Amino acid sequence: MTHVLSDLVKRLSSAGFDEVIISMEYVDRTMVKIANSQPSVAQSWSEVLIDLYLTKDKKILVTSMTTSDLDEILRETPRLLEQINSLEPSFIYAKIPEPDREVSPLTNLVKNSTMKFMEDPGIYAEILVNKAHEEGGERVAGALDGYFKRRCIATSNGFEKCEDSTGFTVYARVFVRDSSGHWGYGGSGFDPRDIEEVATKAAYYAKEASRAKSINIDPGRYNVILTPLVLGNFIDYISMALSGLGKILGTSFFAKNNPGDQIANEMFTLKDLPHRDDMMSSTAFDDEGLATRDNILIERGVLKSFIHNTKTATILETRSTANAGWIMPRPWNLRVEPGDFDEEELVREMRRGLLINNNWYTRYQNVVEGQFSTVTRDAVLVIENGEVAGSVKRVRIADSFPSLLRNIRGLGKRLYKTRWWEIRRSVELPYIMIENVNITKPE
Amino acid sequence: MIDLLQYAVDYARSLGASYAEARYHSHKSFGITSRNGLLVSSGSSISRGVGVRVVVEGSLGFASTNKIDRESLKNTVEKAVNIARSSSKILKVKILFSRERLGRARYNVPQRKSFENISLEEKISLHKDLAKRVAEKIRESKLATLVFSYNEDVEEKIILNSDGAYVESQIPRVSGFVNIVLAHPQRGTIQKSESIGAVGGYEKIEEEDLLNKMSSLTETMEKILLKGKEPPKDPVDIVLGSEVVGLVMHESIGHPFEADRILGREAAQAGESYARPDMLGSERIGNRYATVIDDPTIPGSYGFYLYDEEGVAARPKYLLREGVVNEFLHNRATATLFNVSSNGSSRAMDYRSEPIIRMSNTYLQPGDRSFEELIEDIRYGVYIKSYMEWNIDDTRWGQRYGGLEAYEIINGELRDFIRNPVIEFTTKQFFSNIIAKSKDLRFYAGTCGKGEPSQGVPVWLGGPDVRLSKMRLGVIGL
Repeated sequence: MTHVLSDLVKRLSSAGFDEVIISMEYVDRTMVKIANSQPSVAQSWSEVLIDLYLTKDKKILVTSMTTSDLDEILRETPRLLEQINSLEPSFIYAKIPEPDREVSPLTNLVKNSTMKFMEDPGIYAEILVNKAHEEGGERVAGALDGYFKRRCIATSNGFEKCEDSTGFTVYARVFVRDSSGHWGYGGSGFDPRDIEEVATKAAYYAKEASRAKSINIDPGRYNVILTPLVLGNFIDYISMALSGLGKILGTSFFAKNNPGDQIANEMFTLKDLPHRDDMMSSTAFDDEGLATRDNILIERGVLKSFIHNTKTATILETRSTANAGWIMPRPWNLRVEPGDFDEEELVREMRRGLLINNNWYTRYQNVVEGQFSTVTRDAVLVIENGEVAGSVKRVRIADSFPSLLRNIRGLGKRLYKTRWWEIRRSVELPYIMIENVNITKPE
Repeated sequence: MIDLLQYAVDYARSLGASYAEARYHSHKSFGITSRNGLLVSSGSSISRGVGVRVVVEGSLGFASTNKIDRESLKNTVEKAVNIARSSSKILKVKILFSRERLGRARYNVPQRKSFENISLEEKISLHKDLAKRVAEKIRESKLATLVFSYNEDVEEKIILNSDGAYVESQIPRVSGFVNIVLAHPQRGTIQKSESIGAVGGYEKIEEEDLLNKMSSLTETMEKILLKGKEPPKDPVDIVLGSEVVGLVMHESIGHPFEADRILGREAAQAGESYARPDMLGSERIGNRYATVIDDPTIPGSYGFYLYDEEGVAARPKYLLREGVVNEFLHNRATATLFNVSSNGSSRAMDYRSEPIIRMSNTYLQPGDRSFEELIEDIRYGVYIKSYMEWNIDDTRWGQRYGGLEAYEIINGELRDFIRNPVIEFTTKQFFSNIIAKSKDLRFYAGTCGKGEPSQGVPVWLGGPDVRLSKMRLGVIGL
């Protein structure tokens, strides 16, 4: 595929653009959605996605096309030229970097398990549903989702590489009477036991919430344990705030911070690991053709690096972390380093507080301060004397991310590769205990 | 194109599908994003392909491709049929589409000022003028950031199905998103996002009067930042502005009245619903002021359409009528289960999206008071005109709205600014506590998210200003 792209790059360059990068993805994807313990729809996508990065006189034009017709792009060229000529130079413009031409694409990212899932997804949907019921669930909803992707990057300064990968996601919400539990998994491939664990963990929380006495709590400050699902949702926002572009635009709650600042409790370390063959966003090269590498973003609570492409790195006078995104840098696979506690120990250690299984609707009240609120869903267990003493519904966390990061008091020792509708990044995370978290609820 | 779509439908039927549809769906978009008037990036996109949906042995399959030729459509149909069959093994309730009179129609929405005829210079100057007008209004604080995104889009569809629907449409849309953050060394920061959106051409941006609106908003934001005081601690009379009311309609009536959600189809994603099938026609969740309508046929509205993706004609739906649950939003599959006709609520974001039940333009029916009449007898209260954030639980019962522009009301007059009020209530509390409504119906643009994979579709959210009986306010950050 690369020679076709490099030919297109040449033709666009000779049409008058100063710099050209083409990202081309061929994606084959299959998903089965489950509701009321049966498939509600099976979906499949097969498509070619082409993105163009074009510059002229420091003006930037980014174009995306869902077409497999390369001639269509050439037919669009006069219009694109006219557009870019009418633009103004972008203040974030930086010359595209000298690419790492010798980088080898990762070759171990395609997993047979995911390819098999796409051939006959019904078998795996059945495993999820059966296990959820076997574990005591009364009904289950969720999704199983697998893809194969070939991603190619070609640049006008001579980079041409393709890389193949797969990704698999499964998540389940299990209901027991009027309570529910949720769990999710995401990786490049899977073992059927991963599907079973999703059903088992979701059923566990549904049963715990159902068994526990329903009680009311007053709004106020509580110690909380968040499962990897909740932390995964928060990490999405935290990693966005670590984007160099967010710092430059002033839309990040870390905008006033610099590497070296203590921004979290010292037990918190966050890394971006692009070469993990078991995670789903791994790659050897970014969208500018730079070789990716492991980056420590926060180490023992200290901000080590923002996430950069060449533009944000140039403005902030540092080196790209090879996380392009041409405009917005993005992380690959995020991992929070584990702590010492197993999950029961965390509950005993907290003694009194809330264990929150899942959340959604995270919204900023003030993005610059990182003030947000989010709604809990599924099980929220009230812990007294280190044991489950009740369950509570419809509470919110209304706090700020900087405050949560400072108030971390414990981390689980097991890491989970988790993913669901509200976690769209590839992550590997532990349970986390945070103290003094503001909880609200309707009167 | 029609021949290809017909081929796909016929081929699916020949493979054993009891129902088949093929939808050609394209979007051609262009957008510009700036920060403080300086261009960050500009982009255009073309999304074009065919989505095929089939029912095989009662199981629903969807497949899409952006390679539009006979061979590729053949593969796409086979895939839809095969995965539907594969997942039918654990099927308990078969999908059956309701019998409907389906559309055979063609409609286009004209652009009075075509996107093509407006120069890029003019579109860029809108960004610069906006930044200038906003900056002019700032006195003591600093403009931390002003991000403005302009977007134009032309959507084209051809819908064809095995039950006889054939609908062709072209709908242009324009939208804008503005985020303003002001900062003050002692008073902290204040942030507001505004969305505008309508169906039509560039004239719709001009009609929005964006420059004056944002200039005035900035002036107000600074006053709130510098002078805003804490909300009162005791319960007070509340007046909610139409912007907040529109959002409440969307979140607490629109979403929970989606029949697929009621049936649990979105349980693991967008959630379930407090509404149940047996509530229809009998359950009271509000008083006589609580009439909520979803209407895709409002000309120029952001959620405008005349036929849904299943070929069913669009019409206004009275979801809540004088406080009583009246009608849910349906597609043809849920209509069968509820033993009603579809009310044309099936929408898809693009060719790669499965059609699912969606809102269009959802609003609270306005009342008969002027704003002054709404507040004239309030001795002490708070008027929350706009919001900066919100969230709601997944059954759509408990919700919270963080106010941005808010005023103290003393003896029937708006007085000082209130900063960071939070109002938290259940759906029934809100609709039972309405005392009066203004006659001013205003709409606000939004992009509604739902589905797996998540689909964003354009909607309007609307309503009048509403007076509520006494409630207690919270404050953000506490």
